[in-house]
Amino acid sequence: MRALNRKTLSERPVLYMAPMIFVLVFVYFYPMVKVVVDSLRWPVDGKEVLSIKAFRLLVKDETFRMALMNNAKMLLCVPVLVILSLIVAILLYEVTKGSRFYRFLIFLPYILPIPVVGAVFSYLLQYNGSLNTFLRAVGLDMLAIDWLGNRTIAIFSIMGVFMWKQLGFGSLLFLSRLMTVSEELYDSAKIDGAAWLQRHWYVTVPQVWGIMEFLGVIQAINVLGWSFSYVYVMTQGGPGTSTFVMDYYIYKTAFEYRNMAMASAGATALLLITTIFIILQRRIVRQREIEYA
Amino acid sequence: MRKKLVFWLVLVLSIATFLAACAPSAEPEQPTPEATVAKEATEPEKEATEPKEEITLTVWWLSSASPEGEEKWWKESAAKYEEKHPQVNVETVLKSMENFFPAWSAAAEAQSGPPDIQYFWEGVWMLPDAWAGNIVPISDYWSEEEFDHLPVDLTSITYNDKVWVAPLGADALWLYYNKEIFEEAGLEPDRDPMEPMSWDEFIEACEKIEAEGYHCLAGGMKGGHLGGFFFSAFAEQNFDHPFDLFPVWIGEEDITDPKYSNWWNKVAELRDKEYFNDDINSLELWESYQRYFATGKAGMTFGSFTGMHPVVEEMGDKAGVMLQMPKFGNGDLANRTTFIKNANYGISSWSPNKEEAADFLLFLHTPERLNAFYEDTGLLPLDDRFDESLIKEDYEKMAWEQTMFEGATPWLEDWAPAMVGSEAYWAGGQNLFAGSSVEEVIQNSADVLEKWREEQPEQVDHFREWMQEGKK
Repeated sequence: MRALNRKTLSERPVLYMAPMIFVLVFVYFYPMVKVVVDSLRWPVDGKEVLSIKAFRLLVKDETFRMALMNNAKMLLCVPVLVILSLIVAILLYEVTKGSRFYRFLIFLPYILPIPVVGAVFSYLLQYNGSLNTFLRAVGLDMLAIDWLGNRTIAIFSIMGVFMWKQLGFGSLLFLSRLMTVSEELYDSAKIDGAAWLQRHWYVTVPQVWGIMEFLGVIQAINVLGWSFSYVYVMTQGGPGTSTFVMDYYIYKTAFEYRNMAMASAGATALLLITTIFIILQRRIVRQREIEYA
Repeated sequence: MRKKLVFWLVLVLSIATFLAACAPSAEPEQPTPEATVAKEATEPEKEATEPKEEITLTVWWLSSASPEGEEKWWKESAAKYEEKHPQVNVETVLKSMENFFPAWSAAAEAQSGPPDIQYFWEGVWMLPDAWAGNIVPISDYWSEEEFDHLPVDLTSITYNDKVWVAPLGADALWLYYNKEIFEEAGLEPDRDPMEPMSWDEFIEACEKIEAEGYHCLAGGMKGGHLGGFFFSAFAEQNFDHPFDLFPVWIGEEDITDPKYSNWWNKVAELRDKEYFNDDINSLELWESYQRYFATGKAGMTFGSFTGMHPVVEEMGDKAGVMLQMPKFGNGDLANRTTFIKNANYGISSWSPNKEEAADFLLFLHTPERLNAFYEDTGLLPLDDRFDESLIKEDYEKMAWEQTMFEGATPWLEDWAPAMVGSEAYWAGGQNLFAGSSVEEVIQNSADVLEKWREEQPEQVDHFREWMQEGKK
C-alpha cells in the first residue's frame, strides 16, 4: 500500500473534484465554446465555411440593434435599484414595530417565479387593467397609458416590473450589512449634530459601499440574463420589435427563424458583454477580500 | 503539485471540449426509399412487419384546442396500437408551446434520441426540417393509394415531389359573429356561412353594430397573431395561389407594388374607424375573445377554428360564422374558405423505427381512430375515411368537404418565411395599431425582406425551388 504522505494527501481532493469539474466543463464550458465556434460558421452551398459574416450581419440587423439598445436601457435599472434597495434597507433597519412583517413583504416578490410575476403584471398593466382603472377613478386619466401596448413605454414598464421583483434581494443584502455597522458611529454623528440624511450619507453609504458595487454588478448580470423571461411573458417582443432584448432575439432567431449562425453570433455578443461584468464582479470581490484581510 | 494537477486536468478537458465543439454537427441521415407498406385502398388495417425486438415509439404532440380530449385520444390510440403490435410500446408526450421549438431543435441537432414522430404545422413550419434532412418523407413509407384519402391539395406539405408529413387535424381562419348583436343591428343573423360579405357590406355592418353601442370587432394584438390573421385573410385576395407572393419574398418583385401591399389599407381602415376595442394592443388574441366576443360586447372577431372552439361551445346558438373573409380582391384565393392542415405528423430522420412509425401514423387514419378524433376533440380529421355524418355543424361540414375534394384557401402565414411573418406581418399589425402609417409598415416589410434574403440565402433558394416546383 502506498505510504500516505503530504504529497498524496494534497492530490486527493483534486481527484475527488475531477468528476464535478468534468461535468461543469461540459455543462458550462462546452456550450460556450460551441456557440462561439458556430458563430464563426456560415453556410455556403450546403457546406459550412469559416466566416465572420454572421457578426457583420448582426451589426446591420435593426432588430438586434433594438435588442442591444433595450438591454442598455434596462441597465439603467441598476443604479436606480441599488439606491432604492439602500433606502428600503435603511427604513427596514430603523423601523422597530413589525419589522419582520415588512421584511417579508419586501422580500416576497423576489421569491415569486418570473413567469408568475410577468403574467400578473400583464393583466395589471393592460390598457383597461387594474392600474389604469384605479388611475382613472382618482382623476389621473393622463397617466392611464397603454403600459405594454405603447412602443416607447413598454420597455420601461418591463423595467419597472424587474425592479419591483429585484428590490427585496438588494434590500436584504444592505440590511444584513447595516446590522453589522457599529451604533457608535451613528451616535457620534448625532452628537456632532448630523441630521438623518447626513448620518446616512456620511456613515451608512461608506459602510455599504462594497455591497453597492457588488449588487450593481449582480443586478447588471441579472438584467442581461433574466430579461428574456419578462419579455416572453409580458410582451413577446412587441409591440412590433420594440421590447426585443438580446436573449429574446437569440431565441427567436434560433428556434423560429432557424438561423443558427446568427443566433450563435448574438449569443457570443451576449457572452462577451456578460463576461465583462463577471470579471468586474470578481475584481470587486477580490478587492473586498484584500481589504478585510 | 495540486495546482499542476488541476491545471493539466482543466487543460486536457478544455482541449477535448474545444475539439468536440469544432467537430461538424451530426449529419442527418439522407432519406432512402424504404419498401412501402402495401395497404388496402379503403381499410389500411394490414399486418405490418412486426419488429423482432421490443421497441418504443415516442410521439411528441402539441395540443390544438382541447388538451383533455386530445390526451384521451392519444392514450387510447397508443393502447389500441400496442394491443395489435405487442412488440411496440407507444409513448405519447404532450409538449408545451414554450419548449416545443427548443426541444425539437435540440433533438435535430443531436440526431439521436426521441422523438420518432413529431408534430408540425404545415408549410414553413415543417419544410426547413425537410430541407435540413431532419425528417423523412411520409410518401416513402405510405402507398400512393393512401394519399387518395387525404385532402386534394397537399402543396403545403410537398417538396421535391414528396409528401413530408401526414396531415391529421384541421384548422381554419374564419370570421365569427354574434347572431344576437347582428339581429339587434338589423343584420341577417342566420347567414349562409359560405356567402362572404363584400368589403363595403362589412364596413356597413360595422357601422350598424357600432351604432348599437357595441364594438364591431374584438381583437388582441399582443403576441402578433392578429397581425398574422390580417395578412392571411387580406393579403391573399389579389392572388390565385400563395406561390404568387413568392416573387416578392425572394426579391423578384417589389413589395411596394399595390397588389402586394394594398391590403394594409384595409387594416388601417378598421383601425381609423375605431372598430376594435381600445385595449387591442395590450390584449392577447384569446383574451379579446373571452373579454369582448364571448361576453357579447363585440359583434365580430377574426378567429381560428381551434382557438374559437371553446368560445363557440360556450356561446352555443349565439355564435355564427362566415367561412370566407370580407371580400375586396379578385384572386381565386378570395373565393374559398380557409381550411388547412394544422396538426401534421412527421418521422424524424434519425428514428431507428421509421417503418413502425409510419405504420402507427397509418393506424391513426383508420376510420375508428378518425371518428374518435372528432368525438374526443371536436377537431375535424383530414381523411375521407372519417364518417362525415358525425359532423355536428353544417358550416364545419361545408368547410371540410371543400377542403377534402375541391381545395381550400391556404393559410398564408404558413407560406411566408418565419422571419418575414414575425417581423413584417405580425409586427406590422402591432405597429399599425400603435400608430405607424401604412407607408411605414410597408417600408418595414421591405426592410425585413431584404434582411431575410441577406441572412438566410439558403432559405431563399429553397423558397425559389418550392415555388418553381409548385407552379409546374
